[in-house]
Amino acid sequence: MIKLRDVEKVYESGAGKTWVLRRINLDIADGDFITIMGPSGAGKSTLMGIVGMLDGAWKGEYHLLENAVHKLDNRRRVELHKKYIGFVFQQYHLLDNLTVAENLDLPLSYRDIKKAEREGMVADILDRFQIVGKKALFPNQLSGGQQQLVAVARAVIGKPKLILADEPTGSLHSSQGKMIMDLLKKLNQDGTTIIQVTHNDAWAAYGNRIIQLADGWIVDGATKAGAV
Amino acid sequence: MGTLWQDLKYATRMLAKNPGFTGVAVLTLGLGIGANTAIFSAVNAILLRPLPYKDSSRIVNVWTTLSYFPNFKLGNSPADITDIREGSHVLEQMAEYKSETLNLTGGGDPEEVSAGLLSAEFLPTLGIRPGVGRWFAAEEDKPNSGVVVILSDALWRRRFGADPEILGKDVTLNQKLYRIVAVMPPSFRFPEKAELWIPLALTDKENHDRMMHGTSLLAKLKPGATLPQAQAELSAIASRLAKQYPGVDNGIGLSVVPLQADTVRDVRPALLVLLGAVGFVLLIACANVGSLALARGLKRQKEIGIRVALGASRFRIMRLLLLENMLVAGIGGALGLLLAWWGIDALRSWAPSSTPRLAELHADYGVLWLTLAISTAAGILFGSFPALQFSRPNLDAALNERSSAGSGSSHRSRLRNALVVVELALALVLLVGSALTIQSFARLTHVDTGFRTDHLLTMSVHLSPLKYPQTSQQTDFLTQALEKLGPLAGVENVAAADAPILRHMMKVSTITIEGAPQTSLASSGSLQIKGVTPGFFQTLGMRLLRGRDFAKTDIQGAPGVAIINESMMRRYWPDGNAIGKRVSFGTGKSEKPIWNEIVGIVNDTRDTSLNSTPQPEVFLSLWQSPTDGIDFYLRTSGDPASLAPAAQSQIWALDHDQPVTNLSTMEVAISEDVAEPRFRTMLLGLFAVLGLALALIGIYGVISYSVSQRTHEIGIRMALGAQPGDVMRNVLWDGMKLALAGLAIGLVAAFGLTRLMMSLLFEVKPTDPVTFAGVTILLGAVSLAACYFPARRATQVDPLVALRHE
Ligand SMILES: Nc1ncnc2c1ncn2[C@@H]1O[C@H](COP(=O)(O)OP(=O)(O)O)[C@@H](O)[C@H]1O
Ligand SMILES: [Mg+2]
Repeated sequence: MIKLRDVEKVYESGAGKTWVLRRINLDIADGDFITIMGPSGAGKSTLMGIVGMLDGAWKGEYHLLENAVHKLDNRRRVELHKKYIGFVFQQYHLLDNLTVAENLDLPLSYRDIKKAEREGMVADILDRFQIVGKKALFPNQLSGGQQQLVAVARAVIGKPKLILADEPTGSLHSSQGKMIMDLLKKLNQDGTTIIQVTHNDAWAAYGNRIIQLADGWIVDGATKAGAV
Repeated sequence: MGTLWQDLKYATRMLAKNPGFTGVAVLTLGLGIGANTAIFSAVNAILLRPLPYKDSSRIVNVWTTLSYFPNFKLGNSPADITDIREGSHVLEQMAEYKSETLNLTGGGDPEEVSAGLLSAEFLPTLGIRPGVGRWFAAEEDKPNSGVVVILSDALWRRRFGADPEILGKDVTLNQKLYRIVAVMPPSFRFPEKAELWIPLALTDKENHDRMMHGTSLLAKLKPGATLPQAQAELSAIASRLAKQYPGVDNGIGLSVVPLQADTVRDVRPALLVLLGAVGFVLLIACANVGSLALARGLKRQKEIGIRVALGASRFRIMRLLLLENMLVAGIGGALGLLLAWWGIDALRSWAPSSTPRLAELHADYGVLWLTLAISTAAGILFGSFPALQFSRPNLDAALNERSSAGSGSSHRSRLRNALVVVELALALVLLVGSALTIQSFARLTHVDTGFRTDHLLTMSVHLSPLKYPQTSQQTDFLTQALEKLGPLAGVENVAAADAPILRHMMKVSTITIEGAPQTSLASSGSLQIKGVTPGFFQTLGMRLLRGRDFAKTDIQGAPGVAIINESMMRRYWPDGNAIGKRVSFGTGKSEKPIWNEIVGIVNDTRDTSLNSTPQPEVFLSLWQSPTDGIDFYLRTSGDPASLAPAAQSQIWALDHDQPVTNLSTMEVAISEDVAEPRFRTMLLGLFAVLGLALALIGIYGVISYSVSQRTHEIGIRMALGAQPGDVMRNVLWDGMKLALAGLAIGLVAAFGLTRLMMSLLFEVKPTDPVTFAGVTILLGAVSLAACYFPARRATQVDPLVALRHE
């Protein structure tokens, strides 16, 4: 599904260049549940940003399914993003002045979907995540775990093939964390490819493969150059 | 005290650290306060402050009105004045005056000066003393003894080089020697343009005249008497006069008007509109600074939260914020004061010279205090919003970064939004007002005058009655002048008339039509009358529609002839059969009418002023109606201005003591005619541009602030698939919602307010839909542009940066 070849990321500051990612080679198959680990500042979020097409400034090759992302302009990348990818963040990143239902509708509003159809999809997802009773509440009226539940629901609502979860349990108690991890596991079992970042070995074990990052290098779990 | 000092130091440092905010706020306030103070000074000096005379609030003018000249206020006849003096118990200290022009000769080129002819009581009534010298003695206000003159300060400097030994010297006025007995202080200008004053000195014959309504009457209300009382009394006197002297005083009325109202009548509406406009500018400025201060206060939410957490009282927080805002207001006020001083100077030198009381316009201490009051009020006004908001912040919200996704500040941003809406509404009203005046001015300057205004030189010659007492002498002068001017190189045509064009002057008369019943005449209204030489119509480029022009043979002794304009024909001969009809002019009913046969019809012209609608007008042959006041018109092939010196010297070749006035091209005369509307259009335009600029800064500031607040939210939206286009639309719509609300409110307000400026508009309706639509679209478009830049910045938000947590 995903093929990265010699992906590099550099920040240029006045003083000089800072390498954040070095020669990343990585293959991820359809249905994988990948865990990225590594110390803070290793480049995990940067890598997620590149894979999720939030970041456009990098070097190397990136193939997503049959698309050569590195050859596409920004517009086409956003199209790919909308079609295939859902995000979950450590800080939930719900919009505070929108209700739960409105937050769920947000990604749909950026896709060409009719209003009536969108309402149906929101209702479905509320049902599936068993949060119908919370639909009119605002995020600050929910607990952290409930907020993250909504955030996962929001990532899933567009039926993405790939979910990128950057420390999804980082701000949660372990019981709430477990609920979210179980949810991701279930989504994976239903066929969604998942890449998660975590510092927690127990949550890492939910995945089928672990990639270790340090100082921008993949120190373990990389695909060897040339291999598929 | 120590903590106050510390807070002040802290506030100063904060302002210095935010030069962007401080600069925009200070400039905004400075412009608003400066423009406001300058205009308010003008309104104060011209409209509000009492005239600089003793008991000035009690001084009134008494005018005669005639039922058949309803649009005119005339002077009074000396005989009527005698009756008013005897009959009035409410008025006191009455004094007569008159304006005339006199020829001043000797010691330089001959020139025509405006003179005030004053009765001996005049200056004592006003309570004015000469700067140096003495006032006329009562016995000098008698015919044949009134050979004394008082100079204005301006004339004394201009013509006599400020000669300190001037008293006792002689000047020649209309060929007669007058002894200089005084020089007035520079501020004294009455009547309007007078440069010197001589005794009125009416003869016995003049004093018994009841026909000539040429003498103005000034009086004071007795202490305690009211204007309505005086008016009632004078009306009673008028009806008594009408009964007593039905032959001459039929239809007479007397009207009493405070001198102050008379003096400023013409500029009052324009000044009030300008005052309103400039007040709007100040309101916009205050709203602008208010929303700036609010935005900055929001950014300092955390700082204030920490201060409160460390035990700062509500009072200390309030004081700190107020101090900062008052500092801004203080600096803005100082800048405003500078601008005001400069603005008052500019007003004095650029305002049309016809503006009354211009000499009294000074930047004074009153202005200083006014400026300070306005700026302090503004400081408290816009300082108090943020101070009240922040003196009790939700500590938790302020200190906790997590809840920063744009919700906590919602009612503050509503306040800011409201300020922007108000600003845009005010700006729209200003722009509509200014656009209406601009259009009105454009129509005024492009109005069809009915004659060709290019390549036309004019000059006026007023022959001294002492030197040219006989009409035959006047006719000779005219004949010779035309003979001398005609052959000048570059002159195609030359003609003369007995009234100048576009100088707000006209001769009026009543008319008798042969065979028509007399009764219809009083109701026929006024009629303009003008003596012209043959070739006048051709020289001016008017069209002879029917009949013939005057001929050289239409002289005194030959049958009387007349040419009328279209309006005249439409009024009296709607069937168009005017040629061959006979008319007579003048009010003398006892005299035998002198009949003039209508021989031609010409097109209508706007010749008293550009904004006058053409009136019925009759032209007589100047050879049959000689005059001592001649206006020459020269149609030139080249630049008319370059012919001016040659034309003037031809007159001086005939009489080297003859002043030549109004020597200018018709185009210059037109530009002088529109000087006042042009000035007011410029000022209003300036204020509108100022208001627009401030409002745009306001909406730009609010939107770019909201974008900076929303970076995080925009980042989330992008992470959920929003395209740059989506983000752009979202931000633009936020801005345009405010703009549209402002425009809607502004349209309603403009609709109500522009009718106040009705009297200033020429051929434009105050609710002109095209203007309203055009200005709305313009303001909408520039608001969109002002939102575009922050919106584009929003599309450049990097979601990775926006969503990174620290
Ligand atoms: N805009 C930026 N400019 C410069 N350096 C950056 C920027 N964003 C991230 N970095 C650096 O890139 C490195 C990797 O960051 P990140 O991918 O967020 O690490 P992780 O998610 O593994 O903790 C860090 O050293 C960080 O300081
Ligand atoms: Mg990270």
